[in-house]
Amino acid sequence: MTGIVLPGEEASDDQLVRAAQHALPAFEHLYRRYVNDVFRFCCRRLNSETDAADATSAIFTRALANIGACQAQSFRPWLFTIARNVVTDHYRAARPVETLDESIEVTDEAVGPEELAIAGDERQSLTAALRQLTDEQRSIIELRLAGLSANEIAAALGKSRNAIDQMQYRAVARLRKLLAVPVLQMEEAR
Amino acid sequence: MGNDLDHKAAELSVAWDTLLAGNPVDRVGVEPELIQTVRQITAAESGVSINADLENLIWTNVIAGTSELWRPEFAAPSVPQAEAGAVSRGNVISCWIMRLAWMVAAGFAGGFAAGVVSRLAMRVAGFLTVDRNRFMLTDNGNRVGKITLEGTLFLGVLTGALGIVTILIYVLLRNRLPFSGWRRSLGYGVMLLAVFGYVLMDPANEDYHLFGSAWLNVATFSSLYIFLGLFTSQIYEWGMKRGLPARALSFQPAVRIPVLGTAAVLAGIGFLVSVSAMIVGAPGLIVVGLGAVAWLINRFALKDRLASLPAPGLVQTWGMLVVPGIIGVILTARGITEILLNR
Repeated sequence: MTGIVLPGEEASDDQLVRAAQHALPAFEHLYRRYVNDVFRFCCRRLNSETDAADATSAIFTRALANIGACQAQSFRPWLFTIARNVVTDHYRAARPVETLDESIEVTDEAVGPEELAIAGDERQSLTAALRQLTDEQRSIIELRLAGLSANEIAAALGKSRNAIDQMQYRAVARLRKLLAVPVLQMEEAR
Repeated sequence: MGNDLDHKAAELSVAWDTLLAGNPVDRVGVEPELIQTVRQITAAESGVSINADLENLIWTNVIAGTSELWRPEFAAPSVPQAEAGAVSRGNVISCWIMRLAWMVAAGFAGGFAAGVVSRLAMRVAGFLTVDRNRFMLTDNGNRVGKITLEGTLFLGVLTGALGIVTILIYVLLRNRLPFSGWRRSLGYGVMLLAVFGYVLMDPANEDYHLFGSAWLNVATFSSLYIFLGLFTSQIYEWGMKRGLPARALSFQPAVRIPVLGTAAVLAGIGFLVSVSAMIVGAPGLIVVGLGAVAWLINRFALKDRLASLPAPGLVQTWGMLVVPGIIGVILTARGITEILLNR
């Protein structure tokens, strides 16, 4: 890696992390790149858009405060390790972070109400199906949905690539069966 | 059998990685039904996205929550420039000097302004004094109802020095204080009054009996704490938001070196004033000293990636200040009560 970014070329995570370690304002590029993935991850885990917004804020605050300790080559696994810890803390801690609920409106303006309803149903089915998985399987799928590669998930969860592949395989096979079942039936089976 | 499962699992993983990269999956060993499931769950998730307003609001929150960590370094550089080389140790030290100097300057300016405003409040109280007490000597050797420029300047310099300690405590506690903006500053002023109020709310001080109503006197002296917290923190935040300490580093060397020299002197004065203030008031020493230790522990913990561990409250900055803070509140409440009852 040369470290030189040509016009029109997007800087890599590695370059952005190094830049942010020298001058924090560069962290904003990383924030803009990953805020959606992190927010989606939090929405999935917390089932509340308000809580997800608060958790996203806490995750990036913690990431920014610790950016000096991040290995530039593995920013994404590192970020999602923080994300998992913050989400876990969210359940434990009684002290809430500053709420951001006033501006929360998670909609995709490009799609119509019917498409939204269908997408909502699909998400509901997926949420119900994910609850049927083991914690580790669920974590792997959620990190996958956040855009992490298998190697990054292995790094984030502190497991071998082989172990991740196997758990992921079982999780997908189970999801295949579960997603063929109506949601209500899945909820009743819990 | 085991090898077959390993192979299938590895193939699925590679296929998913390929999908993530936006490429078509054409691997022979992958089960099509599983790939279809992967596509299905990925599509279900793709509808969720954050809106621009919320994205910006969260970013504002992140900056506000970490403002004291923003090393004042050269505005936002482009990535290639930042990649070109590491920031030298000298630059990092310069950044810290500038930041400390800004703390001292903001603390002194805010403290001085608070002192002058409180002096005006005292003047109001002075007008309300009973005639028989007018021009009697106060506890500090001044005349009741007589406001002099020297007296005002003296009070301004004294509160300016206190402002330096005030801003030090503010920076230590900033992220633990409730609210944001001016409300946080006001809350900080109230907290200063509650914890350190006993220093001025001394029932043995005859001044409380020389002026008008005891309530008015208590309110007048209380205003000093409120203004101190409000002014110092607001000035500090104002400068930090505009990157004033960082801006000084972008000057040409001919200007930058004298600026840094002045800043170093200022930071040194601030350090001496803070230590002196701590020595003069033993309770202040405990509070500020413990807070500083807690802050350092916190910083090292962050550096060693311990931040994500749920640290016990008592080893965090706010936790270290709870006990001395409660003692301060009790002493203040006792002082105010005695002043009002003796009246």
